Amino acid sequence: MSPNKVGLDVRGLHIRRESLSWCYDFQIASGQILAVMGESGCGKSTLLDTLGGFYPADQGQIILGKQCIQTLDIRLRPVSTLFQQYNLFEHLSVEQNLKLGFSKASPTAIQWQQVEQALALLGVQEQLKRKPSLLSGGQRQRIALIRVMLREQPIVLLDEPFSALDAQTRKLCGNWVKQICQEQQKIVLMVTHEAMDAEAWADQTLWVQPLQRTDA
Amino acid sequence: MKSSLRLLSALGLSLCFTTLSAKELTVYTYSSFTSSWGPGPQLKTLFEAQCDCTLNYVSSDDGVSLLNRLRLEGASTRADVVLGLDDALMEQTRSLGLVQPHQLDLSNWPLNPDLAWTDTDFIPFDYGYFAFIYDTHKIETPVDSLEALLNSDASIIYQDPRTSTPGQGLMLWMQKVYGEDVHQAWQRLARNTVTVTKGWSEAYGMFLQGEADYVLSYTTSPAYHVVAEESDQYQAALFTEGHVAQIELAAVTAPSNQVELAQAFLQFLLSEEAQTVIPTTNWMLPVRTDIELPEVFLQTKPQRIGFSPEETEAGRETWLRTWRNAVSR
Amino acid sequence: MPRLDQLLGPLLLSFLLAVSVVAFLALMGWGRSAADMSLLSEPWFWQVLQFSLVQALLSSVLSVLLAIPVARALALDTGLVAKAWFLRWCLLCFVMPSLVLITGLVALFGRSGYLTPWLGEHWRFYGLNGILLAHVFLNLPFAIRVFCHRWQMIPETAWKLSSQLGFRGWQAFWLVEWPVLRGVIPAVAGFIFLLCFNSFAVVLALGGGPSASTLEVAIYQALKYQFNPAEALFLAWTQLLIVGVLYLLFRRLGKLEWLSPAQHTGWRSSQSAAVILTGRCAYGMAILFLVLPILTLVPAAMRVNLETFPWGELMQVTLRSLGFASLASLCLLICVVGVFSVWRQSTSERVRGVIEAIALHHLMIPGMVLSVGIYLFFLPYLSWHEWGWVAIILLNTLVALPFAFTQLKPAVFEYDQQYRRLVSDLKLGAWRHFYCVYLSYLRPTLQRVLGMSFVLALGDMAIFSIFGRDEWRTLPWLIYSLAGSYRMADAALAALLLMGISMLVLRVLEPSHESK
Repeated sequence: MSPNKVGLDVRGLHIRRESLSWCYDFQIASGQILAVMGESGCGKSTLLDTLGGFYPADQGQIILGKQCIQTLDIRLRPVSTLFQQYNLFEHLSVEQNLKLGFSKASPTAIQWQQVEQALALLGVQEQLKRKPSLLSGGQRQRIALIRVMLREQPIVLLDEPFSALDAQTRKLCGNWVKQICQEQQKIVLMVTHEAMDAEAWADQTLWVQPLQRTDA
Repeated sequence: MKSSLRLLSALGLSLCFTTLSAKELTVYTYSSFTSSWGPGPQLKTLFEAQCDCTLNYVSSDDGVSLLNRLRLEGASTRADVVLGLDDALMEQTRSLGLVQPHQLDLSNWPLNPDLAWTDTDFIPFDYGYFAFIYDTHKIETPVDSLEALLNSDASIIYQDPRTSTPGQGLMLWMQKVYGEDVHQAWQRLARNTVTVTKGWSEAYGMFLQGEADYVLSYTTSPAYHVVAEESDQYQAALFTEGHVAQIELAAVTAPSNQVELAQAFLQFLLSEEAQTVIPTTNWMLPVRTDIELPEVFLQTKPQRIGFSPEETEAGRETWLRTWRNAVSR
Repeated sequence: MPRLDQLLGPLLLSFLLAVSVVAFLALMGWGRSAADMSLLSEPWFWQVLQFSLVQALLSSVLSVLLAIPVARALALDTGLVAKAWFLRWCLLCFVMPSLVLITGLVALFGRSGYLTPWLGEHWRFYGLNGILLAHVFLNLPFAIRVFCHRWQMIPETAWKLSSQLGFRGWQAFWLVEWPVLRGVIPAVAGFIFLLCFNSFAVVLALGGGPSASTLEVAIYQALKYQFNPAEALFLAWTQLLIVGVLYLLFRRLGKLEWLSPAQHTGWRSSQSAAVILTGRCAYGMAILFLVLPILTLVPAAMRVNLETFPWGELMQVTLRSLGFASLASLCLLICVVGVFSVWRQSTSERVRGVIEAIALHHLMIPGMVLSVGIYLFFLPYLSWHEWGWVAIILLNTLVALPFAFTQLKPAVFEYDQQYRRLVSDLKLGAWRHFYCVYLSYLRPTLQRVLGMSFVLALGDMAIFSIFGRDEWRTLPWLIYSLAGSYRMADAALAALLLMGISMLVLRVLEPSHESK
């Protein structure tokens, strides 16, 4: 990581959940992607939860640039997350869902232009006025991805972002994420099961493994 | 309650208050008094012509609810005059402190000596005798006594003594005639009863629809059919036991701040012009002796029986309980 | 949640509790009057109690028995016409202002009713007959919907299995259908029993005298006819104790799903022609019974004399009724959203349980008892004559709150389950989240709840009977007084208007089916 870039610095972050515990130490520079890998149930999502503020850490620090963010309230953390499910409000249209990502739910003209470009690029521009329930799983995932990536938050957490996509769309989306990440100098953590994903787009890979397994 | 010998419900009037005139007199009364065919509108015109004030009526469904309302509002009432309580409710109203002395010397008016009226709080404005009315087209020989009515298999409609002054009158009547045996007498009456209505107008309306042979009303009720409809189809059955009378009253309310105007209204009620209006609109007898009446009013002169207002007040609660226990079987 | 809302919630909860506490204090005789125990020795009291119980029992047994064949036909007979329409009509019947129905029934079965000439010499509409007719009309549809829902829940495989095993007729009924019904019959019967035990308008209008009176009506009469608070208190206690005990008893009998019958269509065993025919007859009779009293209003209203009809008053009264019902619905909206805002903030199951109990406890207190308590408590300090309207609106709100709460709870729960993290992540402003996302999510449910509570408040007789006054009659009371003075045509016209408004409101607020 180059020292003059604002980056994410995770130091001695201790997390415990039920009988498992983890300790993390890693850095990511702005404009880079970190792939988070490991077996199912090894704690990848818990890490994202802790970074997002949904789950407390026992000790350690999460530093963005020079600011320590792990004590910040969820609402104030500079984080944007793509969850495994329920990323879209089913009762609102795709357009409304997308707009909710921006300040006061009203994107600037430039922001909306970016959204429209992304929609076209990822092949979902036709769906704007529809309700999410009428969309396929892959379409929903792309819509949610667009919102997450284009929000004005430096840290982006993607939890299995391409799980519902076919190989071709997957490639399209991964490249786009990489592009946005570099253009907008984002810090992206991407949970994935596919080594291919990590190879194709990640600058680093983090292997998650619990420290010990104390039988409950 | 008796004026509206058509099917009626007195509506509307109570809702419009005008607050323009300098002096206003608010009169609480029962709804049929203020209906367009009742005495209310004519009396309003007559009184306003001489008082330089506005007279407002506020109406309740019937005499007993009038009292309940007054009691509920207590000192905050807008009423200056309460009009339409009767002698049976008089003591209760007085003991609740709802009215004030009228300060009139009643010997100045030629009041009917039969009434022997000397009360210092209430003045009478009309009176009548309770009676059962029948349809001569259906009944040729009417019953001639309460006892005969109870023994007959004729159908009867009367009013709830808890809500309606005629119903209360029947309670006094039964009590006077049967005394200790009244419980049994009520049960006999219950066998013949079609229904017990909340107010006078429902009962009379149902009777006119042919729902029953007899309905509880007043000896003066046939006068309406004679005068207004030129029909003598409906007649009052005269009973040998005698009839209970109802004297309808007016008084100045205790919290009134228009005492003088209210007293002027009471005087007006006793005046010849008001007393002339009342018989043919409220279908009751005038309290003055010098009023010319249509022939039909003079045909019957029942024998009066009953209780003093004090006796009524003392007995009411027990009598009501006796009634409801008897008729609920 | 907005800041304002955070403050509102706890305030609201305390208010909800305070109302009941105040009513209880009044019942305890705090203030001036104590309950009049001497009634215990009066035959009248026992007669009233007995009649209240008997009519409720008969109403619930009849409703349940009659509902079973109709519900079965609805659920299993694919050849029935107008099913969806009928089920929606059932929903309307259940919330129908009772005065509309009463007017219709009087026009059919009353002394000069259309059907009366065929009912024989000894037909007496007023009293038990009329009360039962009305109560069955109001509650049969509810039972039909619940049972129909249960029948539709029987899985396809159960039918297939029973066919392969060669079950026939009664055997199939006992082994496949009865088990799903058995669980719900006592609960439905119990619920209807409580509704009828608390019924006011029907008994007041159709009771026809002191021999057919219920506790609820007796409370009203004690207070309004005789102004006898001691007696009213004693009767209110009796009512409260019976309803409270029965409610706790019936609550264990199970939960009822009825607002949204599952439209489950799968393979069903074939039925014998006789069974199908019986079912269709039952369905046809149910339609006749549930539609005729309302349809009758049309020819009855045609006889109205346009000259003497009180148009002005009708107009005024309608506006007033709409005002009361709108305000009550608005208050209900604020109340229920406020209660849920506190409920959502708390993660402790215990705290949530307490909040729920506060929101639901009015189910156990009949509206009449609550009204009498509040009325007597404030009587010395406050002129009800001036402030009665506030009580009318608030009590109508409170009476509808348990219904609204139970209807909304699953939606709110689901919302939090699915979107709690997403909402935090999106960092929406409190107001924007509340208004654009949360309320918009709840809207279909809120609309339905508001529609039904609006119609219930519009038809209210009981609360108004205590706090209302002659000059601000509501539409049901106008109909009552018109019918009472034998102006049946006028009453029918006003009833049609009330009915029309109810249907319109339910229709407008009916959630559209475009989403989900």
